[in-house]
Amino acid sequence: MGRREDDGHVPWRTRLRHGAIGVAAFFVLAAAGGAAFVWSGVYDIGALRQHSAPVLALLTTTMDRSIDEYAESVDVPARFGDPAVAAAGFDSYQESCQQCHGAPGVAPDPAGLGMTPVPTNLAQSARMRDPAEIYWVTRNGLKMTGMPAWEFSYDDEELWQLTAFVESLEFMSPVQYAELARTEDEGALDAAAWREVVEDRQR
Amino acid sequence: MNRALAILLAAAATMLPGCGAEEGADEGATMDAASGSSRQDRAADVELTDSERDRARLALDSYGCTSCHLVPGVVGKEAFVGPPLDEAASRVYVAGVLLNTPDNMQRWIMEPQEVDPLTAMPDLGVGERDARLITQYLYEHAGRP
Repeated sequence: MGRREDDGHVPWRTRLRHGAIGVAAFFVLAAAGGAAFVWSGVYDIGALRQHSAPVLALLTTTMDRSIDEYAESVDVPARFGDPAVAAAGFDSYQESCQQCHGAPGVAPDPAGLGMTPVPTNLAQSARMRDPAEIYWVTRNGLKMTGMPAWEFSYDDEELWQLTAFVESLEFMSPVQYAELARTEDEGALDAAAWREVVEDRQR
Repeated sequence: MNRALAILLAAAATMLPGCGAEEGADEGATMDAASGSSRQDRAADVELTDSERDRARLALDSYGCTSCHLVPGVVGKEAFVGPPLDEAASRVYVAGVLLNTPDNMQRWIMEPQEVDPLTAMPDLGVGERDARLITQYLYEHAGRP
């Protein structure tokens, strides 16, 4: 009995040392495995195929959390809800967003469809994200998604106009979008026209 | 230590693209015998080859389907702009406007705006071959008529 106790007893210093060696070995192996994976070139970097589900989930969660955090420092200007602001963003949307994101009833251009990840449908973004988040993403872009930073292309007022337009997509049918495009072509898209085409028909 | 290495390798393997694409692949395949003898069944019985199935998955990704729809067996972000396609073959109507036959589904995929001018689904320029493969894939993987 006494002997068995002797055998089973390991001093805490020894336990600690074994534990530390185990943890260190794990990290060394993990680093070696990671390096071997990278150098093997086995990961398909082509944009034809989507990431595997776990990798996509990891990247998407990282992105979503980052947007949540960074957008918190954005202050939405008081004039944001004014229809004139959203109406003023339509031209920029057609110029810089529609190629990749499409619009209600309008397909993205082939360059947008060929991207991986496929650019988000902004009607869904409008529904799920608040203006500060849309503004932050538009201004800063998103690394490794193909989403450019528009900071140096549009001034702050234009960025908010774009944001207001994107947020309005949640309430815009394909017919309304086409009508806005017609009105814009005629050079008549102002706050009054916006109210008539978009807001008065929501009810 | 060997076990740790094995776990690492297994983890690396799950990160390879395509490994996640098989989930749900064989759902519904066992329900064949119970179905009736309508037109749908004959088309649904045309089994895709592996390369055709792969092409169909690629097409579903590359025509941007996953930016609006959840597609069974195709990895994508959560998208709820249009209906999830996991029961596409089970529904009575395609997009609520056409009877759900393979020909009609193929037509809808190729020219949704011609079929329903009010739809938010755009014409994505899907060619006949890819539209056929996508239709067959959905009949194979997304419920049964």
